[in-house]
Amino acid sequence: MNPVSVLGVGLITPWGRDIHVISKTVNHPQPNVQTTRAHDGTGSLLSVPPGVYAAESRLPRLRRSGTLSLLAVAAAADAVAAAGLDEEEAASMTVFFATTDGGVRYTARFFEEVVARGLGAGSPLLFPETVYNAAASHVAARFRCTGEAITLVGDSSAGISALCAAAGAVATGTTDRALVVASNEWDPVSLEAYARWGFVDGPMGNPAAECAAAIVLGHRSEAVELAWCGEGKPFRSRKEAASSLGSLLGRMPQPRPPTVLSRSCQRNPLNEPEELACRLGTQPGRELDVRGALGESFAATTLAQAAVTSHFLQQAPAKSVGIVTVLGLTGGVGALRLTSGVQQE
Amino acid sequence: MTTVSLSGIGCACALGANMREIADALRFGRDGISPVHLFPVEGCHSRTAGQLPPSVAALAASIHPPARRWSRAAQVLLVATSEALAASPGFEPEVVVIGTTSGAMDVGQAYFRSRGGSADRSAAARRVRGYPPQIPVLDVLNCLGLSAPVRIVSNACASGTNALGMAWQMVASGRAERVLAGGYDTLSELVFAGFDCLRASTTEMCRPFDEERSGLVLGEGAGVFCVQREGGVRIAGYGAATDNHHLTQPHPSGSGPRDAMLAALAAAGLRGNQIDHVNAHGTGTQQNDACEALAIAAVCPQAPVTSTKAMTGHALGAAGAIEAAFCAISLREGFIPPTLNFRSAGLDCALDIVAGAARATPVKRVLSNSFGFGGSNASIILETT
Repeated sequence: MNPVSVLGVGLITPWGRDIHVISKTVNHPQPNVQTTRAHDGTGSLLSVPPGVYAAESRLPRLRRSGTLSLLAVAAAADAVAAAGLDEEEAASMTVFFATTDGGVRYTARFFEEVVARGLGAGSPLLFPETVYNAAASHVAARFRCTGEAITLVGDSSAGISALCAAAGAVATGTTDRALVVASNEWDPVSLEAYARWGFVDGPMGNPAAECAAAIVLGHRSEAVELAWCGEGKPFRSRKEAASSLGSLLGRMPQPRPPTVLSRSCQRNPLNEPEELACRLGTQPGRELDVRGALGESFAATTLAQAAVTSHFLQQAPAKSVGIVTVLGLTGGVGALRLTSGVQQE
Repeated sequence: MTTVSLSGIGCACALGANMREIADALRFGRDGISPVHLFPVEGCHSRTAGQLPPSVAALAASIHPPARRWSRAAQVLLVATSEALAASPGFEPEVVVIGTTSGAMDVGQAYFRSRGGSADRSAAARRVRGYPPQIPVLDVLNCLGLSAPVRIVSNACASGTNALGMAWQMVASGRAERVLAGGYDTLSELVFAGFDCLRASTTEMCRPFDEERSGLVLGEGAGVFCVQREGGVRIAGYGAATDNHHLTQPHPSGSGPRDAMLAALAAAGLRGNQIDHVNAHGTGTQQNDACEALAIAAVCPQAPVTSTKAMTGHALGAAGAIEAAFCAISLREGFIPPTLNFRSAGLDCALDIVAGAARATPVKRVLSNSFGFGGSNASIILETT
């Protein structure tokens, strides 16, 4: 199997789309930049200012698209630019898209009309954008990709699953380059629902946030390498969560301690089992709390963990190792290992 | 590349609750379409669908009594998964890859309905945990004593074929030895309303490739497969392509379907004239059937073509998986099912359409197509050993 490298990353966050600014924010978390509140004040949302993706909003293909697609295309554009791909190389990419809730705003609007006015009242302008793979379709169209485009849906671990699928395709030569994108959007009632569930905002959980991340994978020497990527058995209790993640980390080749660790750090009941599994399996030099700094956007924030960790390794001294772990709200488990300047072990 | 086989197959759809019932229905050209009874359809143009027989819910409850309270999506997935595993004793998957467009949308609809009033908002919080599409899969695995990472592929109507294709890639490349793969979808008001508002659904019958075709009929079901190196019908190849023309409409040239079919043939090391039968996507819409006919004519014009969606309805994310099960039946039992309601081909669909009755003939290789919103195009080739 061929080594898989990170060719470029892109991030769209409430703090903009400059990876250097975002990395500094992760290192030194800032107060909320722009928030909206749910209907009755339950839950708050860190929004990406629309000006951040103004260029994408003007694309003809995206004129009726929702935030999910706009953020995804913007992140992808930055990752492809960072990778230095020309048009032909970009068009040859296989696309892997991950999301947790999909186009929830359009879905809610479409169904609200149906509930209010009957089954025959659905809007043909809204319905196509409710499908989970609409955003992936727009990403593929942006770069004229005509190969496979796959959408994976799941909890936060879907970000790792998409990376695993993409890395496998690149490693086996199924594709030379893969674009992995993750995006998630919120609407007031889903925000409130997750807040009531206890997984965002309030005394438990990170603030909900809009986010999209993208990573281009391929072959390039002297780039940060995606050395290992894995998915664990699903869990149904905190004990199983610690066991599953611990078992997964045990399968990860780790001949040297990681320079940096990025846990999903969810500040909810999943925090403890993740911390336990990581403490037993790794002794990192430092930790990057991506979710705490950028907010909760499920699969998108997981991919952001990988992107920020990759960026950190690019700036770090040679022979650095980064580990990313995630536990998802519906039982998903994932982990990956990035290396820079380290021979494949 | 390593040989990849389907050592166990399970299926449930409008034609029956297991492979034997379905095989008999396919052979005799049974019509599984009926007036929609799951929810009121007043105000809709279309009034029919391919609905699961009541035996599916009963069968799910007999496998696992608490399943009588599960969503219909979880019930049909349980039935199909149980049948697949029973046909492949001792199969323990390392990974599960399942395609779906809407998951447990009946639970999701309860969530969206509960958003309306303040008294129901706390119910919305409970329901938001239950409607993600991975939940039915996790419930089924847990009930059957299995535990493996789960990937949910949601590529619109190509999802089931994409999931099978992903499983094939993983086993063929050695990344996994055993993958449980398939697709599931059940009817929901939201999706029914969606296709109706697009005027994609017909007000009369689904007539794939017919010159007077007027749209699709929705369906539901699940197809599940034990994918590993040995043990049954083989996956010879898989190909996928993206058509960037429009979010819901294919490019009129049929380039997306054609490229997916060619990619599958290339992966299998086959030529188009080595295909004995094409299980078409064949939804019965003007655009899909015209584009697909162009693609089939360009790639394997000699192959007899069937669209089984006139019998089952279009089961969306499950369609590719269900139709792969149909292909396996064709390979095992030596017949090609008919395309119901077909009378005469449109000028834009000049193919050898199997119509009227099933065609008894040895079948060694079948190519199955699945195309969906977002320009998703996927083709898979199954062959006998």
